[in-house]
Amino acid sequence: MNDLKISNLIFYFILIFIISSNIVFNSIYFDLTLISCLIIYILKWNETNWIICIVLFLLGIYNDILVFTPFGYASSLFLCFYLIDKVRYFLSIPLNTNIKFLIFFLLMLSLFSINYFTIYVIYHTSISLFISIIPYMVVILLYFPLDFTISSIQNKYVRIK
Amino acid sequence: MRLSRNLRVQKILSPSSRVFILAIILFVISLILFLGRFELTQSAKNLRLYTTSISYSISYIVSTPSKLINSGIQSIVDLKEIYNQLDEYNRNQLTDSASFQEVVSMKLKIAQYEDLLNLTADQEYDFITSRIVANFSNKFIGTILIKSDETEKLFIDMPAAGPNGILGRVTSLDNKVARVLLLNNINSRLPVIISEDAHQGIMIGQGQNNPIIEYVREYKNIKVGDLVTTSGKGGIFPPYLVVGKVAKTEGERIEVELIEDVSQLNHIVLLNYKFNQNNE
Repeated sequence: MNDLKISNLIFYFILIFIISSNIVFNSIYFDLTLISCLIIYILKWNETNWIICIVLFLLGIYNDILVFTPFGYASSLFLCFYLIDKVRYFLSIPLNTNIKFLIFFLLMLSLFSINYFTIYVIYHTSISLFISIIPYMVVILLYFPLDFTISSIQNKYVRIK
Repeated sequence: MRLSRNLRVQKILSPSSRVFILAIILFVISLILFLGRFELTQSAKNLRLYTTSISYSISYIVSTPSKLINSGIQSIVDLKEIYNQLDEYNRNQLTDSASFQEVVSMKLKIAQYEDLLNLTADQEYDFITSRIVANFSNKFIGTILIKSDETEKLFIDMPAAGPNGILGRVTSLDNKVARVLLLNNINSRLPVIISEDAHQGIMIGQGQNNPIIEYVREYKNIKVGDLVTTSGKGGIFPPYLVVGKVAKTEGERIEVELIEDVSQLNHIVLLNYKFNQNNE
């Protein structure tokens, strides 16, 4: 797993790039914070590299400052998606793409519900269900293509090493 | 017994467990920041104040490839739009001259009526033009980042407007960039008047949806198409600036279609308006 250290750097850069692209892309279909969460979830992170947690935390804060979301929003999302895989590892749940996708799907659904109801309760605002759900659906649709691409990159890197 | 305890301790102290514990600690800190609404504290405001331009500079450099792709796509769209407009212009060229005459005569009539009614001239304000450098208008926390050569003249709560009407207000600024809170932001509240009868209400941002107006006593008299303008109450925005028009009414719920589409703008103006100076 130590072989993945350099590729970690590449993925850190990809995450910074995606978060930074928020200043360019302003679309209701793509939520770049959610896409970053998907990448974090798909990646096979180094188990013993503690820097990853710090980087994810800092990237979350950077996202919050840039996009003006409340402090702690993005970092809790990033770390939650990072921790899910760790929990799976500790509970010894078998690694299967379909199970992983199912967990991701349920997470996205709960995240959407929490976001939607938080806005409703705190701001007394009912945002259109259709508009709100689009970015979540897009991320779910992106799961398999991204999983395939990232897994290929990571496997290839390990093989070369 | 002792051996199993040692094994458990070893398991907890193993590198992967330590990473797991660190991740949980950071996750809990993030949750505390988020749920404890840290962003409302003065420290968070200061943090945003000092780090916005740094994060903008980083993202400006890192997102260069995205910018190139985006500007390429934008150029193609613009070019297509120019061709469409050219076609339309050619079609309307004949009727334009008649419309121009009509506009001039209407303007003269308005000037005569204003003279007869002894109306005072509209208030005028100094303004500072700023360039939009980042647009987050399609989120429920709709904001934009702007850059100006005269940042020292900007101040918090400065009204921001486009060529047709009001857009929002400045919420934070440093020596390089400022952030404008847009009217569709769910934190935005704006005192407005509706129609010529000047029904008072508060316009509330609804994220990606049209803003709504609440607290209107005579909501039954509001019709679709009525003009919505700033009321000037609260002292942040000048009065009688166009906000939009009523798009839909459902009982007490009045939906407003904003006149300005920020995604179509490259520059905005910041009005140098201060309530006390104008002695209203």
